[in-house]
Amino acid sequence: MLASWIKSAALGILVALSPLATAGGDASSVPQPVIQKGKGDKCVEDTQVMRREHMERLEHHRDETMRKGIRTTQYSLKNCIDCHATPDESGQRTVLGKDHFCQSCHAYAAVKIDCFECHSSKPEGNAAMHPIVPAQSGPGAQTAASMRHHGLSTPPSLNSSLSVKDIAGALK
Amino acid sequence: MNNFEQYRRQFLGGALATAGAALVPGLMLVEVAEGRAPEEPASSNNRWGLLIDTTKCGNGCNECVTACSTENGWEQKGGLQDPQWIRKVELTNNNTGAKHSLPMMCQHCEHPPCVDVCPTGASFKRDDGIVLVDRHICIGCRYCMMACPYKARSLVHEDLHDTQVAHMPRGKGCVESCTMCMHKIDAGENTTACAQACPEQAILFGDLNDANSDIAQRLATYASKEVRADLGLNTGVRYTGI
Repeated sequence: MLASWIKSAALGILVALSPLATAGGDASSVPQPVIQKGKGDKCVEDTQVMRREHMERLEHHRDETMRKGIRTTQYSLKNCIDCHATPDESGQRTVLGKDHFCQSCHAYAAVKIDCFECHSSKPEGNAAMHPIVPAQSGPGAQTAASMRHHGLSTPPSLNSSLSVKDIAGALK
Repeated sequence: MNNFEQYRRQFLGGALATAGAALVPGLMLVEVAEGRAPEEPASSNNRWGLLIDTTKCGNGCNECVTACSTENGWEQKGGLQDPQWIRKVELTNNNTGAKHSLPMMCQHCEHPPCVDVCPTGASFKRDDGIVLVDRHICIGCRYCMMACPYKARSLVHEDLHDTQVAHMPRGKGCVESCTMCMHKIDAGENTTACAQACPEQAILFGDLNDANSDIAQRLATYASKEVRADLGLNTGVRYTGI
């Protein structure tokens, strides 16, 4: 008699708690990150594999490149950035910043990214014309000048007097 | 494809069409650079080196330093903490007063003291003779800077705020030095930014192990010197005219 009373009480508590439990464990109550994925519709591996294992692939490739000079692109960080970088407010393509590929997910997962303490978060084309390169000389500036000459867009940061409107005008 | 890539392709396409029209079929203007395949590791069959003709090197000329700075994304601010990838050294003969100028950078020793002293294994020599710092492992202790007889290494003291170029990661708290433009070598370009930029062609890049290379033939023909040869480090960078 007593046992059955305990059983029914326990069941009652469980039933009473179950909406709470569901609410606590429901992933939809945690805001999902907005991730800009960048170009292409397919990564170098299945998405599930990349989500779980990208750090191991990158670390392995890092040693191969650094120590042996192996420059395959499949797991190279540069390759990741080339595809996944998306433009920020100034038009600079990057993987860092709110909603951008690397940072949005790492912020959601609360995992610090070390890569960009040394590596550039921007793809090669733009980085070669980075403001650290003196504006008057160097291949970066020459390229940028020749691109401007041909009416192609340059990063606004390259020349502070060049406004976003100017670039929009050049592209028209 | 970004705009730059598109422009590059259009430009190259145009250039090739012009060259093709002007030449007899089958004759090529430029030989395709013989590089390693991307999956092929650097090999001890090569030993990359530089031969610097100091008689051609101009006093006051800084082109090689500027080119290195642009290529690798470092900045000279003019202080004791400046990067030491490459610098110009001015020499004066006290007896005759003759002035001399030469670029000094990592000498890519066969027996590098920086590698001997590194406590973490971050300082290492690649199979093709290039001496590098693995910044993933460097703890910034600067033992290598003290061990280097050429003062060719420096520490990044300040945050770089994402100003690095994509092919050359650099970061605060790590030691760095000349990489002999390994990204160019790995891409099969087989040259360095300093050698390309020198207006007097005073810097010759090449494979010391290849007897047919320009650099090996010049070394076999003319007298050259290692700086601090007394240390027996067998440097990959050699000088003539000093």
